[in-house]
Amino acid sequence: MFWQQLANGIGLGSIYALVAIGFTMVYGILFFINLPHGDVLMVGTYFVLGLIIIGVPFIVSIIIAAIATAILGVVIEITCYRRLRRVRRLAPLLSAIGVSYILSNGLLITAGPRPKSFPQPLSGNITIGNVLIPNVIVLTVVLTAILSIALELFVYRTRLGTAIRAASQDLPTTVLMGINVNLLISLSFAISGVFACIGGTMLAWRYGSVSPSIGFSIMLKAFAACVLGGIGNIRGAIVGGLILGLVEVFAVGYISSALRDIISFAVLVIVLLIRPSGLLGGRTEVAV
Amino acid sequence: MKKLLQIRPRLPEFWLSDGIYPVLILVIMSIGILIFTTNAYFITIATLALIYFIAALGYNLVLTHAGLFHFGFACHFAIGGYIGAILLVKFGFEFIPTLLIVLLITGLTTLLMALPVLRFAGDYLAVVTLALAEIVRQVLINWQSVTNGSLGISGIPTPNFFGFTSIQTNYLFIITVGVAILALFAYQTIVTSRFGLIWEAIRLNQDAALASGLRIYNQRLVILVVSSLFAGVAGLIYAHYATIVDPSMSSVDVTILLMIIVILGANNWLGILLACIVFTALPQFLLSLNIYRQLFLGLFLVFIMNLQPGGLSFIKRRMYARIQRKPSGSNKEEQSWHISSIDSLPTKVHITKEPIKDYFALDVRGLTKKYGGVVAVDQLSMQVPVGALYGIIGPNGAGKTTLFNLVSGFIKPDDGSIYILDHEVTKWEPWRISRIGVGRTFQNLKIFDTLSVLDNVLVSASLRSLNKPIDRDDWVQTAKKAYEALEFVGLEKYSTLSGGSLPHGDQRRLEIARAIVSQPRLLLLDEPAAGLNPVELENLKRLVKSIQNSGVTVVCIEHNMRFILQIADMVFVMAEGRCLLVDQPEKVAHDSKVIEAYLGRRAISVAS
Repeated sequence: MFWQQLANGIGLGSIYALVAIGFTMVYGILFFINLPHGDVLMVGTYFVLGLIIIGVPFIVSIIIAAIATAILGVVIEITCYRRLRRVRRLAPLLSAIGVSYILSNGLLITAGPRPKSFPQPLSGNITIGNVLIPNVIVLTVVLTAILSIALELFVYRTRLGTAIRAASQDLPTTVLMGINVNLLISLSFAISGVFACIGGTMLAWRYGSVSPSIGFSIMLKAFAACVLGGIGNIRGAIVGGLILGLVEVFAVGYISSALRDIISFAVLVIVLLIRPSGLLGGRTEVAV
Repeated sequence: MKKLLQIRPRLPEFWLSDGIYPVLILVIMSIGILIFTTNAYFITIATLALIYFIAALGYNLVLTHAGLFHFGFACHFAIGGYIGAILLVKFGFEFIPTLLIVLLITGLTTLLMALPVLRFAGDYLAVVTLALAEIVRQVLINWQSVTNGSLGISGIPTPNFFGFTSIQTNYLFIITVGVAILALFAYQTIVTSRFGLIWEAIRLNQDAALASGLRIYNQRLVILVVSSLFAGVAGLIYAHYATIVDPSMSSVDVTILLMIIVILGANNWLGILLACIVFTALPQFLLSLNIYRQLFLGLFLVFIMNLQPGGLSFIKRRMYARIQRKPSGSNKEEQSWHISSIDSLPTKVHITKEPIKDYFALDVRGLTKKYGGVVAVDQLSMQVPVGALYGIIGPNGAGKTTLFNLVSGFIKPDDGSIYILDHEVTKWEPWRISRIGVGRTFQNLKIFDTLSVLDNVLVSASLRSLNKPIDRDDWVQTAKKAYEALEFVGLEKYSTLSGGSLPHGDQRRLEIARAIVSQPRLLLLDEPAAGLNPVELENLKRLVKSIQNSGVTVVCIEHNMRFILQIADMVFVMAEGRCLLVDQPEKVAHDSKVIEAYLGRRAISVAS
């Protein structure tokens, strides 16, 4: 029982980690709460579903959809946020709420409100001892590991990655160094979109269905995961996502499914009370 | 005095301008609606708009005035609604006792929530409040015996006053108007009072607020509680309006609706009212469009924010309209400092000369501060006698500003102790140190940009009158003191301009005015002469000297050697976190160790 829950928790947690990485990428540079992140994720997932329905192979549709979602992220950034970068933080927030409404309702109109079934290739299981691990969980964990290592390598080993880290430390100075910050910000929205699309697809794959209205609650989970690990910090997002997934699964397994959200949010608040800037430390304004 | 009142945008004159006039508009609008409409549906919508208006006023205090990202504001709305519903349905209470109990319990629950919430700032606060609202919602769903689960509590009667009640739609509308008027009046009183000023100051610059002696935690606590009362009352009226309360009252959707209203309303009660009307009326009328409704709402929000990032700010408060640099009547001569009568001024600022005591104004012993491997301040000891003017000089990176930050409590030392006057302040918070009479300025100017020059000073001055929030005479006296501090530094002509619009040198003087208005006994000046032209420098010299003459101990960090050598009684030379030398200015100027620290070894041979 315990090991089974642990496996499930890691599976769910790595999906949260993927979504949270996308959220934290944007936050790291712009200090911007990307409210439509969950809706971008839903749109990405429906891209995948649409492509599969018209007969594109599974893997190919994920790749195409990930690229499309990245483009969507960049388009949103350019049209809805770019002009608001210099004004007070409330204006981009409201614009973000607007984008969230557009995406979620646009999806509702085109795809209909009812959940759709999502194909589940590789539906077998791996058995270790008496623990039954669905293949999709194994795949999710492996994929999350590969993607996050790739992102780490990109951010810490390449010049563009260095530029992104510089921008997240001090945007105005980065501009003065002659770096095209617009490009960096667009890039981080694109990366965020790719991670959202893949995260959403894994979620739909895991449950075998997808419904358009859950975007906001996934965004909340990602936000919570980021803050738990330390916002603006990629490793923090991974750690936070895993912890959040584990807490949820164990809360359902051992306590009560009705109390799932109470417990995970309570854990969040308690962790923050002990470590106010998240587990791995993130950017924080000091509360006095 | 009359003139002073005219330039004071924030004095409590709300009886005539800021208070009665909005209330009148609201009353006229409501009467208009009652007379010209027989349509019950229309009145229903107007009632709902006013309910949101009451809650949005409270949210505006948190989000705009205090700048706290409280994303769980709906939970106060839900708590107010549920408490009201339980009292009305299960216990058959009348309206007024219910209202009072709702206020009390909403306030108490907010106080409880604030304990964890206020440990955070910025986006951490956002996510913690989101989580709290979600927890409240889940509790409402799961606490079946009290809240009736996800069905909610239904059958809430119309308000009952001493046995009188009515089922007409107009009846609830009139009551809602009454409550909205009270709420608006309370809101206007708060934002025009010293609390409104202080909250804005805290949002604009925390460091400056701390240096002015503001206890930020307590102020934020007050903001949260006060604003939640608005939401609680709105929740109660909503319970009457909808006749049912359910857990969705605590959902993010409610908070987001209020957020849209508040941001579009652009920190102005009329803007908020308009936004409320638009956002309750429009969706109802567009009901036929149904699923396209929110799509259009989204497009609308994106467009309006890109075209008009300030929201409905064209109805700006007159206050901000006045804060503009006046181009007329400011020829060169007038702009120069008016401190020729400076000898008479100190009495006006009411600083009394200290009797000689057996303690130092500033006594630092073995102070050490390390940053990683770098030792910024290293076993430093210094004593400044009461009434003296000490200069601190030293090359960049000598630890001078770190020393100031330690002394004023902004950072905590790793070792050693600090005594100021007759207090040991080593572990004190900045606001507490400020309140025993320590004023400071900052090397990198920290001005409340969008507050007027007078308000900048008033933030610091208002501290002593915080316990008399509605004493108007006291407030006028405080404003007068602030104005005198501006006169003292020669900025009184610019008192209505915004602090951020002043040129660099004037901002330095503004910081000094802000520091001296609270009648400090120890004044810490961090590079006051940086960036000043020769005339300004001459004036600054007289200003600092006259501050000392009025009995204040002054410690001044400065790079400008000539300046420091001319004004200081004693000069304290720092290098690499240590004290290199303490001596009289003339001797310091010729000391070989000092020259070496500044210019290197070769300079000594050149000099000698």
